[in-house]
Amino acid sequence: MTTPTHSILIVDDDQKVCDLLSAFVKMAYPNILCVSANDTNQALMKLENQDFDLLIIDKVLPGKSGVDLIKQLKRSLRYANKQVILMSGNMERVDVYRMIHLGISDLIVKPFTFMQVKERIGKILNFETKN
Amino acid sequence: MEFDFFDEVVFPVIVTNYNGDIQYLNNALSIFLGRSPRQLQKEGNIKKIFPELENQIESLIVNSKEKIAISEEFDIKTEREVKTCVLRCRHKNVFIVFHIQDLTVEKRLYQKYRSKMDEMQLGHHELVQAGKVKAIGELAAMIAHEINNPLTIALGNAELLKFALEDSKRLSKKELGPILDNTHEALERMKSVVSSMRSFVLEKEVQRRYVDLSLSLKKCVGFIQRAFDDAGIGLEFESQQDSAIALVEENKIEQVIINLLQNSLDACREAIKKGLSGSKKVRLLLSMDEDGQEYQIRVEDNGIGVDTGIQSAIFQTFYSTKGEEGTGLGLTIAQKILDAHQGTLELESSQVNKGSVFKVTLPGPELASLANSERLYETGESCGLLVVSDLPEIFNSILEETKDLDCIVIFTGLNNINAQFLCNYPIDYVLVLQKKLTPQDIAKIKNISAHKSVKIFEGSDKKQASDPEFQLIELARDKNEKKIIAQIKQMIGERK
Repeated sequence: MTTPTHSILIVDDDQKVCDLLSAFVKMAYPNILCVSANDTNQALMKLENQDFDLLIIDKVLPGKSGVDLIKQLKRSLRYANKQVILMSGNMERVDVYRMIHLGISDLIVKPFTFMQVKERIGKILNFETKN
Repeated sequence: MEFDFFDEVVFPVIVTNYNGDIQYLNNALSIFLGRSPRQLQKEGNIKKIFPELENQIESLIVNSKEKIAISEEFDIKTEREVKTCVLRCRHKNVFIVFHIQDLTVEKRLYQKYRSKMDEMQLGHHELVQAGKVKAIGELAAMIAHEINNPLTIALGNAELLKFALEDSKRLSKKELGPILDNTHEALERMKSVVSSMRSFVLEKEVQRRYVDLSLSLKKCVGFIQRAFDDAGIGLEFESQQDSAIALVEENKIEQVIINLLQNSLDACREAIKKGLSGSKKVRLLLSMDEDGQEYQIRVEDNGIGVDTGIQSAIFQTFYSTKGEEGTGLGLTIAQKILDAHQGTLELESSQVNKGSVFKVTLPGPELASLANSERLYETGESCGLLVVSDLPEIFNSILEETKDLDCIVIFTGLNNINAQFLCNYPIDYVLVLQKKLTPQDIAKIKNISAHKSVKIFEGSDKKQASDPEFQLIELARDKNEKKIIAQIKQMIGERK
């Protein structure tokens, strides 16, 4: 077991999607720890207790949407500089422009592939992307 | 001549004797037929003027003794057009008076009316389809999510499996199981989304089947739950029936319920927009009416409500309170569907800014099975069979198998046996298909089967089966539908 050097919070209401992303991350970067949350409140609670290097947030969440969560984070002093990847299954060009203003680092469109996830995370966390 | 007064009449008239020999014909006739009076007189007999009616004329003459006799429709070719007419015939002393009634205009009007009606029906059908397509458009974003999530899971897990194949060290065997399970489950999820979409869009000739209404309603809630979650509006489902068996076209009824839930969701959204206080929620309630004859499904919300002035208008075609967004078809279609199910849809109560309650009723299994039976009780000769069970599948297979038998099958759920209703119908046999029966259940069954000749109890509990009033047949309910059917056939045979 390698000790984790980085950690990612994955927020999606579908636990299976969280599991899949965790498996991808673990395979690509064994030293990253993944934590998952299924809604906005859980996410905020986990953020309170632990410092994450990156957040991957789904656009559609029950109650408050992922976009609302990002807006809230970006307004707060504590989390404003957090790296965020927004995940969505229903994205049009106009949405992409809208999202960029939110101050997110990148986008993942569902369904995603292993390489897409690996590249995006590697780029943001400054890992070398070999193999 | 004594018939001179017919000269002034505008209808074509011929007077004959019993044999049909022409005694008189008026000017209007020669104009109508486009032949000179002399030519017509020359024919001598009416049968020669109307050769196509030769066979009918004699019977017309005989029948006209009692009352005016009317011939079948026939066509007359004149110079300008083909005219559709009937010949009316009546007695006058020793003479027979025929007159021709020209139906050409009426017929043309009727045909025009028919074709207009057909066009309208076609148009209505298209509109209904268009309404559905629009409803789908509204659900599109939701469906993209419904499909994309499982798609992501399936594709991603497939990729993981590929890695595992390439390099067995990267994933342990223990990790592989859940990956396969997740893939499989995700694909199943997509399948169910696609099939529910398909059944919504496509018009299929589906036969009605017995289903458990509470399960159907749960399905509806599952389908629309996300939209409620996204809007932050609560959705509750409550059933006062353990099992609620009804004879319905399931996806049509689901369409109605989803439509009503969608309306309530919109009403709650509007209320939030208006800034009305309190948390917004929608309740879906299933219950049985006091007589135990019909199911009641209520959709209650605390949204903006329906203004008193428009409460009757909302059921009209093309009436919409949603402006550009609405088609004004939702409730019309819902009402049509329920009509076809011998059910109803009404706005039970509504208060502006407080909320509204829509009530759907559907007949219970007893009423529905009688109403949909191809045989009638009037004859009193058919065999009456009462099937008591809580399993809709059993009903469906018995219904299918007894179609051609001389037998009326009434179905009833164990929970809501309606003795008062059933005592009006001659039931010869009672068939109880239920594994476990409580003493109360047995009392209920005895109550309705008090005067019936044969009682059959199917189950595994020997103690109950040893009750002298029940005749036990050993049937394992799960696999032995054929055995049950054979038993029914035998019973009907014995009775004869």
